[in-house]
Amino acid sequence: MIWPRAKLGMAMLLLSEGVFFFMLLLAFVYFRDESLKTATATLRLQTTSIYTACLLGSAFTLWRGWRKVTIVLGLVFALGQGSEYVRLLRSGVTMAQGLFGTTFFTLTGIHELHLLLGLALLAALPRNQAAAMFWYFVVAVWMAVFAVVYLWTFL
Amino acid sequence: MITHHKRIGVFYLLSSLLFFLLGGAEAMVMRAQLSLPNLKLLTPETYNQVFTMHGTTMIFLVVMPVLTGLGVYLIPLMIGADDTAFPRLCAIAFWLQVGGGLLLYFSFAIGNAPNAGWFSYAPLTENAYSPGPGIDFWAFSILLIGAAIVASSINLIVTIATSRTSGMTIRRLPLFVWMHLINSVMILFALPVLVATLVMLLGDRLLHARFFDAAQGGSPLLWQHYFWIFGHPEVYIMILPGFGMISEIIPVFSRQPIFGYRSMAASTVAIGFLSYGVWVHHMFAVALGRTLLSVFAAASMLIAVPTGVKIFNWTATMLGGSIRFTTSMLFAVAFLLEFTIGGLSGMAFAAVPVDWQMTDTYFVVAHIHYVLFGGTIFSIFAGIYYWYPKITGRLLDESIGHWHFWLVVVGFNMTFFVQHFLGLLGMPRRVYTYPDVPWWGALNLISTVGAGILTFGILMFCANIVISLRFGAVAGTDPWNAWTLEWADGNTSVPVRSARPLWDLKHPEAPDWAHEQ
Repeated sequence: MIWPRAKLGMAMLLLSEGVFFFMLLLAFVYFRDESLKTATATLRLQTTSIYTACLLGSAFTLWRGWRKVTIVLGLVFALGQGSEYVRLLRSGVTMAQGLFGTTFFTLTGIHELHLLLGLALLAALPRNQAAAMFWYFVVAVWMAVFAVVYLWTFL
Repeated sequence: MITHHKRIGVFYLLSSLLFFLLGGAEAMVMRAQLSLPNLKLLTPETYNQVFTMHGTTMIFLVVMPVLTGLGVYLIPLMIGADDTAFPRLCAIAFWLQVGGGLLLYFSFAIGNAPNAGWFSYAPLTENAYSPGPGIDFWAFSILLIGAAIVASSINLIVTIATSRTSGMTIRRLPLFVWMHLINSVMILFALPVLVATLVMLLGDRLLHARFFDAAQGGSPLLWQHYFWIFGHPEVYIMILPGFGMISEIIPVFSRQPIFGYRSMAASTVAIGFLSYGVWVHHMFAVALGRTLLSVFAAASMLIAVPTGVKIFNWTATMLGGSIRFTTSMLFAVAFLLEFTIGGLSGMAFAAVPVDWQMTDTYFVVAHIHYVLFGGTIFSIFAGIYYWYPKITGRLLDESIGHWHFWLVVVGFNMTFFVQHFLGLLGMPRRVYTYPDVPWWGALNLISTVGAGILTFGILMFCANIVISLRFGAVAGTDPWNAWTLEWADGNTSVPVRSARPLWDLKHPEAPDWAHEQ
């Protein structure tokens, strides 16, 4: 079984992207003890769960071939993430404020950049299979981030 | 836009040669400064910048791109493809690579080159200790180069997976292609670790994050772990394509098929896996606990087994063969000897107590140069002499080549063999000057004279490239009477029924495929 070149190339890119996110996630875990207090005090599990459900739903809609719905759900998540950032920054949690800010904003910020790129790819290349693979990857990485950063914090 | 793999391959080779001369000039500046005790030609600050630029240049702007360039040029020819799978990606990877190099050297122009060594240990790289922009230039340029290397690896993997001519099964791939394939997969796992580490460093420096700043709760140890999780596989990434070239050259000049084709491929896979489990041997001096150190010491020694398999395979290939000592073959044989010395000093470092005594001394400098110069650069010289006629249609001159070879062998060993003793005598590396301790002055002077001889050898090489381009003997399509497809001169009708299709074509009475399986 040989994949078409574009899909194989995208798979290889996502493999290396996966390692990249794994290392950022590992850095979050490495400093977890120091950042746990700030995390419990500032993160909102319920709100983020709703946005996460939207993102998960976007993978389903993409699988069904409803690209426009996927883009809308992706935008909802991006806006949710944006409002979370505004709330955190207003309450004084920044990159420079402490280890939680450092690891949280690096990890989720890089993910957010990938998410925006994924949305652009979905919009620009409506029938492209490789672009769809990229979006599934963005969703999968968020699931790992959500599990480690949110669920584990409030367990 | 130029995207054809042959053109891009040559671009890679030429840009690497340019940076090789720059990196070599930096090395000569260091050797001049160290030639006598208490010499103060350079300020300590300049010296730090020079050794950082030398290491970064040689690793990211010479060894990585020259190996990529040879792969990009040769792999499509060897597997019977018209071009790489993604020609535009091929071109953009090259220009990103060059852009990264120019960005790095621009730091000299603004008077603030990076100065924290090629592995830039934190917290030295934090704003508090490196307030200038030098480290930012370093990190951004390596981010670009990292993206370039990942891009070209993706391209090579997809090319090898999808563009092989009919009959070119995975078990018939030339070993050069095998090694590049495994190498590219290793790059996909190793380079993103470096990219993540650089992103975190830039976060610290530009956005005041706290990853590596111990004063604010961060952890310099995290930098060491992350850097070497990339850094040790990187060591093998810089040698595997060299192994591949040696595996093509020694059989052709010994007139015998490679001994142990399968064990060659399998031992490369083993090296690939093991290389991810040995990074802590760069950090034995950090108090990590005896159990951890023992595990990593054992794993590091284990890696000598698959490497030893290769050395024995190459030796066995030569055994009983009718050997032609062309310049290419001379470099290949010298590679076996020099790389073995580098491997043995590496084994010494795998033993924790030896490492504690020797870490951060000139013994490390000797070791890294025996594997990277005596290993990789020697294999690259062998490869250039072997494939130059393929690229240009003319042979490199053999008598200049012999001068090049002997000057490099004498100069290289004179420069670096004595550094083992300097390390044993306790001379730390990365000091810009040193007191007149017994033997230090004499050994350093020998090393500097050796570096001068080595420089003459390199200049011979450059002269040979230029002179032979104009006056070299016309090579014809297959000057070495070789066996792999790149020498078929675009004749796509050569059937591939074994790992040596041109042998089968030339010897219908005893083809390899008759005794396959």
